[in-house]
Parts: sequence; C-alpha cells; structure tokens
Amino acid sequence: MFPPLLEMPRSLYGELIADLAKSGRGIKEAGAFLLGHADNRGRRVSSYLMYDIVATESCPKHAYVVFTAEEMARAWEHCYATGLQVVADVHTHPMGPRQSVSDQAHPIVSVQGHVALIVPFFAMRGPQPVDIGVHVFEGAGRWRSMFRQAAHEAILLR
Amino acid sequence: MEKRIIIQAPFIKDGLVIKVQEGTHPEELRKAVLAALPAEHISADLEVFDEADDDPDTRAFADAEELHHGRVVHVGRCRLVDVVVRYAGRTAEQKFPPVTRIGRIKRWAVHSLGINPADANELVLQIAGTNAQPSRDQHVGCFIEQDTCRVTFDLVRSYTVNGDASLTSDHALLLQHIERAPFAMGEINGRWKLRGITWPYVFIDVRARDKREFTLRLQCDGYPGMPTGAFWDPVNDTWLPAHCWPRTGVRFGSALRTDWQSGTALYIPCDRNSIAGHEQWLQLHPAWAWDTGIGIARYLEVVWVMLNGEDYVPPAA
Repeated sequence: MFPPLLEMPRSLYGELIADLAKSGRGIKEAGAFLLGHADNRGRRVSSYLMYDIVATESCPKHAYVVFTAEEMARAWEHCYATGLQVVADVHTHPMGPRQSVSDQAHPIVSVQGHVALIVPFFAMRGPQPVDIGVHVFEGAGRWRSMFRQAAHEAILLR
Repeated sequence: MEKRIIIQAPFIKDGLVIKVQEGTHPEELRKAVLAALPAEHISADLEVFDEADDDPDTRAFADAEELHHGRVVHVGRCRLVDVVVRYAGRTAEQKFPPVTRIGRIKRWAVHSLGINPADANELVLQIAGTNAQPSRDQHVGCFIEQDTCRVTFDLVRSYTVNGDASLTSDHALLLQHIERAPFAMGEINGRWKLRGITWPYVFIDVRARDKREFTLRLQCDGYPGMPTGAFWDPVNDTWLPAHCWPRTGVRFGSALRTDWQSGTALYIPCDRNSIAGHEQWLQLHPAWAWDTGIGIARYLEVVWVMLNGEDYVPPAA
C-alpha cells in the first residue's frame, strides 16, 4: 500500500468531471490543468483550469487537445497570479484511459513525477477514480501507468 | 586585416555587424561600437559588454558559444539582468550579465526546474505576455522590460497535442455528420440542439411548435445504419413516461404511439426497430425513409415535423 499520488476534495472531483463532460459533450476531448501544491508528502489539488478557458483559439478547431505556446503561457500566467502549481493534468478520451502516442510525446509538464489523468468515454459515464488512467511521467520520455485498483489507490478523494 | 563584430542591444535585437581592424585596442573597439549605434539611441550611460566576459558560473549551460573577446558584444544600461522563468507554477530566478545568450538561459532554466534535457527539445522561452520567442543566439539584455533590468519568460512547448483519435468508425462517422450542413442547419435554426453523446447514445433536444423541448435518445451503433430511440427524461435519466409524450393527430397516424416497443422506439420508417416488418412504409412515406447521406438529421427532421404540425398536441403533464 502506497500513499496516494493525488489528493482532491470529493466535491471538486465531481465539479471537474461535470465540466469535462459539459465541455466535450461526448463529441470531443476536453481537459484541465489540476492546480494546487506539491511536496514530498504528495500532490494536493485545490482548483482546476479548464483547457477551453486558456486555449480559446485551439479548442474550437480540434476534437482533441491542442495548445499553442501562447495559450500554454496563459496557463502559466494564471499559476503565477494565483501562486498555484500544475500538480497534474487531466483530459478525456473517446474510449479507454490508456495514453495515445501524442500523450506520451507531449507531457503537459515535463518534470519527473508529474501526473497525467485520462478519463474514458469523454467523462460522460460518471467515471470514478477506478475508471481513470493514472500516468506518471518518469523523465526522458518514460511513463508509468496505473489502472483499476492501482488508479483507485493513487487518487484520494477527501 | 579586418574582422567582423556583432553588436546586440535592446534597440538592435537582431544584431548589427561592423568591421574593425584585427588587433584594435579594446578602448578603440568600444568607441567604434558606440559610434555605430543609431544616433537616437546614443546616451552617456550606455555600456559595452563582451561575450567573453560572461558569467563563469553558468558556463556549463553555454550552448555552442565561442567566447572570444571582440567578437560579439552587447550595448545597454543594465550590468545584470534579473531573469525569471515561469513553468507550470514553478519559477527559476537568477541575475545574468546582459550579454548572456538565450540558449544558455534556457539550458539553465531547464536544469533549475528539474527537467531532463532530453525532454526539453520542444520547450522554448517566450517573453511573458507576448508571443515573442527569442532565438538561442540573442542576448538576454535585448529583452529587458522597459525602464527595468528585468525580464520574465514563460517556458512553453511550441505546440502541444494530447488525445486519442481512435474512435470506432460508426462513432467517427456520426461526429462527422453532426458537423455537416443538414444537422448544423437544424441547430442554427433552433429546430434541435445536441445535448451530448454517451456513445452509442446520442441525446438531442427537439423543439416543438409551442417551444417545448423534447429530448431524444438515439442509439447509433452501426451508424450510418439506422438509429433507434425515443423520448428521454434527462432529469431522471430514463425513458420519458407515456403521459409526458407529445401527441399528433391523424396526419401522422400512430407515429408517436407509446405502446410500441414499450416506448423505446418511435414508430417511424427511419427507426431500425420499427422498420422491420413495415417495409411498405418505404413506399407510403418515402420522405421519411432513412438516408445514409443525410444521416441523423433525417430522423430529427421527421420528429421535428411531427412536433411542429398543426395537429401537434402537447402533453397534459
């Protein structure tokens, strides 16, 4: 038994899943930066920033997640203004919670230990942590993935 | 023999090339550099910095620099530039000589932020609040904020793609049809509106003559084959109870009968669970037959016509 990778208020998780489903409407992918604080005790999420808020030009054009450099900088500006870090990211997939080639090639934050969540079925089926793919960036392009019970244990909803 | 000197400054970001004689004394070189500047930028407080007098502490991050005196110089007022690099809520901050190249700043930032250099190839420094991305050979002193000795960069990926395009073919085709004119026209004209898709179920609100909206749940696996479905209660996430169904008069016969398939399929020619055994409908109502070219908009058009006819009757509930 390992300590959870990610902690999040249960109510915030519910809001996040609802916003992902609302943003994608079951027809396109959606995502969010998960913001909070990280230290050697873990990563605690206290808010999130939806991708469609910052990627205002790219989101309407694509059925998957795209950021230009300028759009990503808007997210960093938000972090700077709020004093929060991107402790994880999340995006939806039309089908399963495994990473695509582009997911592996483009970590949202290229720092070892960064956590990327993938929510299946466009977040339209009321996903719980056990349904989510939890992917930990290990650096040099390598990832470690967790599913089902391991994913459930990696995400602590309080 | 002449040699070329490259001058960079906040007002000459791309560099200016001058030629001086080989072996020119440093003070003469300095005068030649200042004399080459545009007249409107000359002032007494300008200093000339030489790349070879760089910051030795960050030399390990130098990016293919050839540090020879009198080769590349910087002109400016700041002896040190306070550099801040922001990345996903983390920051790296340090003072650098203005003559430090952006390539070195990036390598230092990547190291300071704990990023493996192998993962940094697509990361670039972008001046905060702009879309300007200085090149590796430009001096950091060129980018100071006005009237300061400070510059803030965002470390960003030049282009990020995440996602999985591996939809099943029926799902992908349905999404294509939703983008096409027959469906889009209905949405634009307020006849229907996509509520969401939980594949293989598509939820669409169809507007009736009295502005009521009825949600259809259409099961679309096998698309562009015929869907099947009926009215849905999105609040309680179940089939709409019979007493909440709209009604039609004689013109549409029993198309909205609630006893057919227990209210899970409309009794119309473009519903796959209803057409079976009713092939004669295709001759009687050819305009209501399924058309794979039009797709889901055909089903919606049929329902919208029924809900907007003169004989439409709203539910009592």
